Amino acid sequence: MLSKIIAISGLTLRTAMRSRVFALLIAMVVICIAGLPLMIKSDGTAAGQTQLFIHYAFGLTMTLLSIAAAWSAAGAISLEVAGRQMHVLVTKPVHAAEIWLGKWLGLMTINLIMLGLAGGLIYGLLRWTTRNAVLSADDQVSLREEILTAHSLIAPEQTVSKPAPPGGAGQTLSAVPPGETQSWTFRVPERTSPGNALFLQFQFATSRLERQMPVTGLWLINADDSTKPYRTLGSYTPHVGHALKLPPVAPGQLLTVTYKNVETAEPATVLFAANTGAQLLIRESGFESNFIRALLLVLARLAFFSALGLTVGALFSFPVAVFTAFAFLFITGLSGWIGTEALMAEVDLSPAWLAGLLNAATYGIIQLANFVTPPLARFEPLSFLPTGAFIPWALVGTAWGILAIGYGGTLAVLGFWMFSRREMGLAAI
Amino acid sequence: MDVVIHAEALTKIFRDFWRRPKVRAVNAIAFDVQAGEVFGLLGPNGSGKTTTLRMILGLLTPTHGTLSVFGRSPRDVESKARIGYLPEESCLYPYLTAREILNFYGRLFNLRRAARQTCIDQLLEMTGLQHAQHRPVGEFSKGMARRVGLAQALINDPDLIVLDEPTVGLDPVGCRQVKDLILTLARRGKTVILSSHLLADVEHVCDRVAIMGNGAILVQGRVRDLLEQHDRCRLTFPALAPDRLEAVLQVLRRETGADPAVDHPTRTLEQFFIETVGQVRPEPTAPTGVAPTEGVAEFLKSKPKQTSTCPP
Repeated sequence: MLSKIIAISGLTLRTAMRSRVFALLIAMVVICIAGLPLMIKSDGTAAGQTQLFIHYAFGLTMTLLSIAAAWSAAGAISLEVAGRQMHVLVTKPVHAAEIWLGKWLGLMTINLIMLGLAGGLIYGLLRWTTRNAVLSADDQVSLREEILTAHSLIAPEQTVSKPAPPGGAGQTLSAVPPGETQSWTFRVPERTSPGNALFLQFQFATSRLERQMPVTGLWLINADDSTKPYRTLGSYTPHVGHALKLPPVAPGQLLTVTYKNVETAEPATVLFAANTGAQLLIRESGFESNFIRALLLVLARLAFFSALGLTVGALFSFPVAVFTAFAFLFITGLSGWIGTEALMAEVDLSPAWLAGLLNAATYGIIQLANFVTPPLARFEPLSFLPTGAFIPWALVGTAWGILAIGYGGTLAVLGFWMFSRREMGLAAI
Repeated sequence: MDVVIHAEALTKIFRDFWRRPKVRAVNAIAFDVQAGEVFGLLGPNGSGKTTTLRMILGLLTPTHGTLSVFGRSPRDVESKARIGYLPEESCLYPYLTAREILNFYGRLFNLRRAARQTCIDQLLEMTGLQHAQHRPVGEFSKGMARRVGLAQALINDPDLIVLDEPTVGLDPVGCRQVKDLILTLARRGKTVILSSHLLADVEHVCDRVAIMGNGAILVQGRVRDLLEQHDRCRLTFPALAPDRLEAVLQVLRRETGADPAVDHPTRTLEQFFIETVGQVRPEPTAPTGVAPTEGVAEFLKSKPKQTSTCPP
């Protein structure tokens, strides 16, 4: 069985490597990634430039490879059925499962090659643009400590703020009006090595209509063994992640972090997300290992896309398979939004029973869509890598378990079943 | 004799998207194909020949009736190890070379590497494609691609060979080779089922034929039984001088009371073509085409009913 699967995967790989589409895809990936540093406009800092480059390069790679994976997988079976190569293949002593698995393995090898190429290119460019000759020593240190590293996030043990105003927003947001404060308490983990710097990562929104207008804020950091709090005043842009370097703190200490809204020029209320508004960062590993884990997260996603494309290609003709795969990908892309915003939406109609019926139907459909689409947002490497956030191996394992084995395996079983029942060479009527 | 293919009340109805019946492509046909027999399916376009072959190969599922191949369902994977199939059109991977394609199919039959390479070499030699074995088949002419298709159908030294229009796209020499190959395989006890529009091809190689029309079998039987005219007979002599011929005719007229027709037997155009081209063949062949080749691959000529040099 294995030798047949390997033969089919080798054929898939060989066919793909010799097609013009593959050469075009490589050219697109290389041109897009290599051209990115020339097109990015950041805040002028080395950290900002690097963060944006990682974000866009990784995002672009994921987008291109995801589309290519779903597209090529959708055609791997359906195009062979249309070209009638499959008519010969299924008359040989091979099971539908062997054909499906062989195709999937071949496609995964292509995904691996493409991802390795893109990853190598991104890493090489990252090293080239941040080399000693280009950046000052301070910038290098700052980059190494903030971006080109792997921090893990420590959530606050306690959040102290004014009572939330009536309404739903108080459950998810903490408001800090001008002149008011908001405090968080963190326990510094015992595994923190004393030499490593700690960072406070925060992000907020404001009550202003102008989204990007900065707000002046004062941060007060107080460890339970210190007598004088560390203070830093700064102007911070809303909707952007910020990392504040903290003074050394001994492991196990309780750290109280307070934000005071001191904006006077154009007063505005600052809004922090209740759980993730401010978090503590501690160094867990080097950037390189984090980068590899990020690539493995992308590969898990490509494993799912390949399985999806193959299965719809086992049932439908190429155009229908591509449409179905991309429609599913679109719904999957909206899964985060579906899970939060769409579930809260309600139809307001008269009579009330009709509105109730529509709401119940919509709720059911959204819940179903949420159930059948994989939780891609949970394994989004862009949430980690550009901010230097640590990607645990457990997350990589979970991503492979859920995306590749769970969803991919379910699709595989569905694909075997449908493909084994599919008739070839039907008359065109 | 063992029955290799058994069909009874075999029916295939093609349906539209809404599952409404649209075309009754095969309508309650019944036939048996015995082991070692060359069985021909004849009929005009749309008569149901290819649909029948595709049901035999498990590509299509019968709507009604029973169909068994080697006593099993046509979709049974194990019995497919004993089948070779040449489709109506050359369905090859255009980016692969002829050798790579044969190697790929050989691996699906679990042929060991050394045995596989031997089979591939012999098949490439038999089909005259040795010099073109490293070129992508996408660059091949229709006839060359057809030869690769034929080679892949024989890579496992099958017991049942299903050939759909095997001579389409081949030059007369290639057609002759295919017919010789079919006869060689039949001598070895292999079962061959073929469909063709070229009646002369079928007549030369088939033991039995079924003529289909509108999805039904109109007539089936041994070729000789179907074609023989029992109310007439033919005498063949060496060429006679006119006066001796007239004397013979007078005797025949007197004995039979009929007026016998006299003509000179002719060769077939195929025979004439092969003889003519054969005289030109010794000259070097163009490097892009099919090389001159003789006979059949060694592993396909081994003793009847015995394991060949390339066992699956």
